[in-house]
Amino acid sequence: MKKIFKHPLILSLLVIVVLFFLNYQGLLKRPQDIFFRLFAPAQKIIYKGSLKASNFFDSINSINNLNQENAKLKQENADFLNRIIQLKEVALENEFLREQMDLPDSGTKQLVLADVVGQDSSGSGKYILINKGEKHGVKKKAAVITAGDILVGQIIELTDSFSKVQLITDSNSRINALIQESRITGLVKGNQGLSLIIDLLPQGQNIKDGEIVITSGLAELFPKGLLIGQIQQVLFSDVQISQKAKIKPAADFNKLEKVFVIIN
Amino acid sequence: MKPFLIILILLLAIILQTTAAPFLSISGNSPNLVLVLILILVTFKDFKEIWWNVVLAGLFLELFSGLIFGLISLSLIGSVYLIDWLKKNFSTIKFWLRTGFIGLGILAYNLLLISLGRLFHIDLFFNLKYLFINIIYNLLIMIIFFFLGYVAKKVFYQK
Repeated sequence: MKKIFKHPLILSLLVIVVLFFLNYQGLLKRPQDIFFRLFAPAQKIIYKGSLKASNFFDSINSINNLNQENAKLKQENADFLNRIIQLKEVALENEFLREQMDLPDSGTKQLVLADVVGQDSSGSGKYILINKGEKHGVKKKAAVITAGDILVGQIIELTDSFSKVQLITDSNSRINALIQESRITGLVKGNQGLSLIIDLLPQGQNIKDGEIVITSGLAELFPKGLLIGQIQQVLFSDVQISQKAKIKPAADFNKLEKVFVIIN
Repeated sequence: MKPFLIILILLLAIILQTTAAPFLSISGNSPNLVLVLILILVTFKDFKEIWWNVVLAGLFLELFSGLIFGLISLSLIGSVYLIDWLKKNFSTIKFWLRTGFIGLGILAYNLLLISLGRLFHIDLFFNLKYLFINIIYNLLIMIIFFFLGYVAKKVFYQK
């Protein structure tokens, strides 16, 4: 019997079982936090350096298209300015009507700014590590966004000072979503960590490429109105009871440096 | 190799794997530095000598993963033990055989991780093209590690 427990395979499996139970009881949280705190400064420096290097090589690659891109962006900028003016008017009108009808304010989000200090180690899931945790008011399942109210993911694990975020591109991520213009609801899933798919769209509905997809606020996991992406391609099939569409995510998940956690 | 040095190298590898490696991704595959290091180690040493290194490497990988705790460690131990068992059938191990073992170890690790993931209803990305790129990419990393090891050995021997 003693010999069995001296076998390296049995020994290593025993250690894993013990660690599994310690983790299940939450007893590994503290050592995990200390580990992250020790290595986060170095991680942050290397992560930022790698991000800068990646951006530099990307800019070299796209140098030929700069003129074309510049002209396109100028055109887009003029369109957006026009839309901002219109929306400002609508906002003022909306505020006035809200006051007249004595409706409550739609509420502002309370945000915590966090730095991305690392990415997933397994290569199979899509997660990031951020430097804000329980002591900063972050809670499990809180939504994580980036500038422009663009949805990035959800908190799945947290220690005192750090949190793990499951990106919306992860295959196990599910979000109740709404196509903004046609008001059709569906379920957004991660497409093998690379892009997004919106599923359960009713048959017979006309969905156009380029339409904007936002969170619907159903199930109250994510606040309503967070930007997810744009419809890229409708995957039409007569055989299935619902339609699917490919979504181009609004966030660039490979270039995340700072994110916000919604804490209210 | 001294235990302290192994821990230091594993720490450096996990830091690089979670910070710099994702930017070197090819078709969604980023290099698994820790896995490659552990598989190289097992082709040189017996499992009974390095089992604690494998557990430690698994623990480091678990810390930065969002998967259920234990899945990565179990896959790592499974693949390392398989290579150790296969290795015992050969008296001398040349470079090409070592490369084959490491390639097989990467394949075993991926298959074990996917199977265990399915067991716990975790949807892990899997297709043959992805797996093929993953093995080739990690074998390239292995060659780089061998080269770095060779250079380090030369420098220290000269000293």
